[in-house]
Amino acid sequence: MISLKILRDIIKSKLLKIDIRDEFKTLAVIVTIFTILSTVLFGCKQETAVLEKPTQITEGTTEPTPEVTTTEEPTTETEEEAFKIEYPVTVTDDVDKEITLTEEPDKIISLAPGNTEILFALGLGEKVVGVDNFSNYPEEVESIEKIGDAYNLNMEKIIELEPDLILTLKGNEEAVKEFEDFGIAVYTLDTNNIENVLEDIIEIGKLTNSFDRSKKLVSEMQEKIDEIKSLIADVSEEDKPKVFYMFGNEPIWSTGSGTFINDFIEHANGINIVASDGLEGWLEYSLEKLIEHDPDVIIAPKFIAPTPDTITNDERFSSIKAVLENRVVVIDDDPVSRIGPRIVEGFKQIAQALYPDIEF
Amino acid sequence: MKKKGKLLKYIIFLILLLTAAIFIANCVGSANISIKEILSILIKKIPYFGSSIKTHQIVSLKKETIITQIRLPRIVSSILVGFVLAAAGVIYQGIFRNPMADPYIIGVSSGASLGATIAFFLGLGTGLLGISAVSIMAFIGAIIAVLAVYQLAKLGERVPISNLILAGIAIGALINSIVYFLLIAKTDDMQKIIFWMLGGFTTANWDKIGVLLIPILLTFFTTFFFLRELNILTLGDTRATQLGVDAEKLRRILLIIATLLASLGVAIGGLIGFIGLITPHIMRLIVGSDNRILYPASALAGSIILLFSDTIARTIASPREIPVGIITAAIGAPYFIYLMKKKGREIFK
Repeated sequence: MISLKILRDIIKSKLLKIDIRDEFKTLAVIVTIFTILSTVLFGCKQETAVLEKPTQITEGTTEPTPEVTTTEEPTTETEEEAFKIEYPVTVTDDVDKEITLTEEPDKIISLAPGNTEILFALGLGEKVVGVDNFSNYPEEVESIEKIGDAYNLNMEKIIELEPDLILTLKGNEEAVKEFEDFGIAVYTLDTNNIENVLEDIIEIGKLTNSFDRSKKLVSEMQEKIDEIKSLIADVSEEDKPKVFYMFGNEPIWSTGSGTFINDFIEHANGINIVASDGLEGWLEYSLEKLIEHDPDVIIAPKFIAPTPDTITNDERFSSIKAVLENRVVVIDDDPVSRIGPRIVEGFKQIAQALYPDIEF
Repeated sequence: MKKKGKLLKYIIFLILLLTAAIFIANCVGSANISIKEILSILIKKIPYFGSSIKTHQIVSLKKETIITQIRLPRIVSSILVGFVLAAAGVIYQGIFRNPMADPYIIGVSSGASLGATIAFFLGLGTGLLGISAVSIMAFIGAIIAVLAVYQLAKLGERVPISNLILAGIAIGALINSIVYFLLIAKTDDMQKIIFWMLGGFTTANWDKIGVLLIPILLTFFTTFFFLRELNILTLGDTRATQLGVDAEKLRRILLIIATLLASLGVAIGGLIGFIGLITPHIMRLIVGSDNRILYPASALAGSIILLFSDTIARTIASPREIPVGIITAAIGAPYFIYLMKKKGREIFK
């Protein structure tokens, strides 16, 4: 008590000749305003994140039923009968835009690696006249004209190639508008869960007169996914491993709900610790909180950690259960980041990371 | 004697404030650890006596790790970086006689980014003595860039200030274009490099602090021999020469010191902006422009501001992390404007 009094007296007795209290008051006010503002900002964001948390996809057995809303849809259609698409065809893409093609597209351009993979899986490789710089799968892509990448498109080249259809990911609205002004149909994919990708494949199948092929592809994918899920179906809530997906290690980045990775983890019966904090999307995450959560498994894509050693040898992570029990798993990034047919492979990698004893 | 008393008062006050800030910073964080637990962890760590004091508090090893290996090194790192950047800022502003001067004005930031980018590019992982290759390369890059700027600005024996600044801008632009080219050429590393450029303390560790603490303190205290001359230098070269100060030589020495300080800061925290520019101005409004007081006071204030900002950065949206640069600017800028308006006088004379 006495020392406190002295301290107060020292400050009071004009230790500092200028009136410093005023200045610190203002600083306090600014800090308070800032704190309130950011709390409101982030607080609200987190609340909506919880509210808008995508409704859990019920058991994966649901066959994605393609709503064939094409005007010419025949009502009687059997599995064996080849389904013939009649143009004009109208489908709706992931940004709720209707796309109508009056005839089968002959030249297609893909602006994202996943889109390219969908086209090739549908047997449309021959028709792909241009792909983005990152497309590298399947091998045939190598010989196809590169038209830049999503944020740096070579517009002249694209127009010169005269495509009938362009596939892109969301986030490219300006370019999409320009293409449409040139009369090119653009299908935009924007998806963060497995089910949605399957739907997209069906829609693209319809647009490109490969509806049969797309249905076959989707049911194959679904089958594999269901098979993986059936192997881990009877895991009880308590036995679900706590998972941390390390998308960056310096600083630490991860993902909450509403992303593909989170969907994979949930479908693979794991608990994404970042999503369990009520966070959404890609974000920089607290190291302290990571250690406190003490995940059972840490998954990292190859470009972050070429081998698990990058993480296990990092002193910051040395006390985490996943590191102590040697459950740091490095996965191939392409199958989990490319929204296309290979997501099945990606899902398998995640499931294997969570349940190493089961053979998928 | 009057000056000494004034200096002492400010320093004592700032040290008290810093101590309080350290205490608060240590008590808040994403992990749920009570103040009692934190205190008992800290008491245990006091050398010699610690283990003999009974605290009646059992703390899990995990929590101890969080406090001693994560929170504390992060706190100390932000203090050191704020300290050196603000100190370097005072020197740069003094020798350039320019309120816009900051520690990054003549190449430290661009040189450091190039060094770091090359380290990422070549995949240089582990460095020396627990310091990552990226930090070491950033340090080296910063020093080389400044040396290059200095050589280019040289006119015979003289190094005019305006030439220094302009050469700094030119070299900075050139280096940045190389950095961006490398980024585009190897996009795999783009994310890592950009995060490094944003700066921050999430990778703080004791090894780095242990190695860099001594050079930081040595460089910092060396400046004290030149602070009186720095005051004279602000009067202009002609006047300085009349008063028996070799302006060119002094400028060279101080430039080396300030660049070392800034580069050491960059090696710890990456490119943290704003602190080095604004802290000296804030302190100039409070303690006046006598560099003998301004220099140590700014260094301490830089520590406080950066520690404070980093504490907010890691707690405000917890468990999310916000880049510290956003916070320093969001708090520092309005506060500075307030001070400027309140004092109602020209800040930089």
